[in-house]
Amino acid sequence: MMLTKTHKTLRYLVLVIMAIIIIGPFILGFWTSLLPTADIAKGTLFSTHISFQNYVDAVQQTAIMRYLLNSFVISVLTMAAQLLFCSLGAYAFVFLSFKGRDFLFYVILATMMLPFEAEVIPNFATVRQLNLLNHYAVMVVPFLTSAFGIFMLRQSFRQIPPELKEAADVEGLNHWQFYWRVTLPYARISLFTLAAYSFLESWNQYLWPMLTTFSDKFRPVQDGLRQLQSQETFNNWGMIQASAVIVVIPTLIVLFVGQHYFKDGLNEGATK
Amino acid sequence: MSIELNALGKAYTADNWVLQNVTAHIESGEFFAIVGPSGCGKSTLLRMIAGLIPISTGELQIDGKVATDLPPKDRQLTMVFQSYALFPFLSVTDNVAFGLKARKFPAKEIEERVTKAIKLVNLEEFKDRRPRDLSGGQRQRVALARAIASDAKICLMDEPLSNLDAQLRIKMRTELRNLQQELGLTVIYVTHDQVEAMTMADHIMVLHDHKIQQIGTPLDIYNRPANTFVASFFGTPRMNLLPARVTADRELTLADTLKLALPKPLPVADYIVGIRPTSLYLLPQGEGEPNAQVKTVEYLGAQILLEAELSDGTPIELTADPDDVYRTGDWLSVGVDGNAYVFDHAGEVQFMVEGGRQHASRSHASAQA
Repeated sequence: MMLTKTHKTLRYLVLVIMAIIIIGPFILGFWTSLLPTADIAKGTLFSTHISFQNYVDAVQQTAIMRYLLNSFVISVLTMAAQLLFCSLGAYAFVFLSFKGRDFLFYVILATMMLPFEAEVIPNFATVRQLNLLNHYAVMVVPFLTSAFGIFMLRQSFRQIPPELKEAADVEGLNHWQFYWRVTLPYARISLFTLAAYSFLESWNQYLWPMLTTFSDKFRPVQDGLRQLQSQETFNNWGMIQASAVIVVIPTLIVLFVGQHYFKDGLNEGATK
Repeated sequence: MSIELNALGKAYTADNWVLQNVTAHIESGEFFAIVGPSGCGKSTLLRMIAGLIPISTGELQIDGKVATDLPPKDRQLTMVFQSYALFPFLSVTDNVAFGLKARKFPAKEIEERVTKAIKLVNLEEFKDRRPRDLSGGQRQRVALARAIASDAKICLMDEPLSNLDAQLRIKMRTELRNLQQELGLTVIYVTHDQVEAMTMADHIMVLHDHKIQQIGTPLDIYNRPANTFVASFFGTPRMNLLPARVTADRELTLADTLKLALPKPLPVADYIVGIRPTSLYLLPQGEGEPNAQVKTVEYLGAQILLEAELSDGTPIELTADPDDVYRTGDWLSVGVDGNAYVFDHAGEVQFMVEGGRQHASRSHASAQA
């Protein structure tokens, strides 16, 4: 269908407006991170005093680098653990047959219906009993696996043609070999997706670390940002804004690198 | 390596037999085809031999040793799947080497075997490609190369050609057969295509209704079908199966229309008589007593296939000379001049009546059943 000129213009107009609404705050945030706090306080947004001084200050005067390291350690550990345990769980639900398999799977699915906030109090009681408070472990251990991850990988593993399993059986591959040499490479797109998802989810955690960490030594970025604001009576908004930009960068990198892998068609040709 | 199937049976639930009492002997170096319509259990049987599906009853012997409960990898066989079952994330070379690596062959031997196998199937220039960059025929060759590269002497094939287009399929038939001969492989080949079985196999097992219908050479199966199922399954165009009853001491009347002289008397009962379309003759138009009316006319090039109805309404197929002109509605005079097979009412063959009217151009190479 050919679009008339007015039609086309209208469409683009709508798109541009929506883009401005969505990207606007980001641009504003990035712009203010370049301005001195005095200008921000005065409201002179179109200032000419542009510099990276806020970034230098943020790195030198705050614990932002420590927060970044903390978040990085926590997110990488969580991501690795989720990839391993979710894929093992999903493998069992697809390739092993045992009594109560489907029932068990539905139990796992059912846990997805409970919001994390509803589990905060019992979880807190548990980790305090285990003496894990204010430590990396408290932010990793409760997230070692995820019902969503198991569900997603199970769907993905089910796409593997049964003939591949049969071919592997004829060659004598055991379950571990089939898991490692066929299942994981076959489902790598889903694994990349889950990796990006769990990394970002862990990176953006706020409530749980706020409750369980008390020192800058273990505090992750999102809570660190909050910390910057309340520490001083006079808020250095330019510096806070610069820190926020620094915090967003890893997210952008993950999404940018990730999208390269999220393309279809990598598994064509296994079977006709 | 010979294979012995001894009363094999498979039931998923009690008394629900998918296969029953399958007994056969497969010689070393033989091309053995298992043929039957969809759902007859032929793929199940192949997977039982491979060890992918446990055997419920009976005994399987490979090379004289009992293999009924051996895991698949210890049965020393390879398998080629209808869907090829290639690993999409591996190159052609790695796909072919997959089984050898899994079996921990020394690297040097793997390389030698893989190179040789890829050369045999003419895929040398594609060896670094992924399956998705290959055509259907090339993927099929990769699957074959994987079987060839293995040191196993038994190769199980599950409809390996059915995803190819008609021309390629005919070409691959010859190639497959040549490869099998060259390498001395024992091949068990599952197909639903009777032509494939006829052209490639040394022996054919016909499966239907969870049971073996007949085992024999292609010639045997075609010329001496054991029952109406085998008779109508093999041969194109299909054999006509006509209801018959005894009307005189040594005479059967088919569909109340055609007379068939018998070499010996038959007890009075209902019979079914099978006659291939090529075993019927047509009198030139205008001669004889008309007894069939043309319904459709199909030109096949070398001959014409006529679908007609006998005077009592029984459909019948016959072949005719392509130089003659037939139109729908024409009345013909049809008679039997080739072999006819007499089956009892349950479909079991009783005997064969050899061609009545001899034509110089037609030979009747067959013996009395």
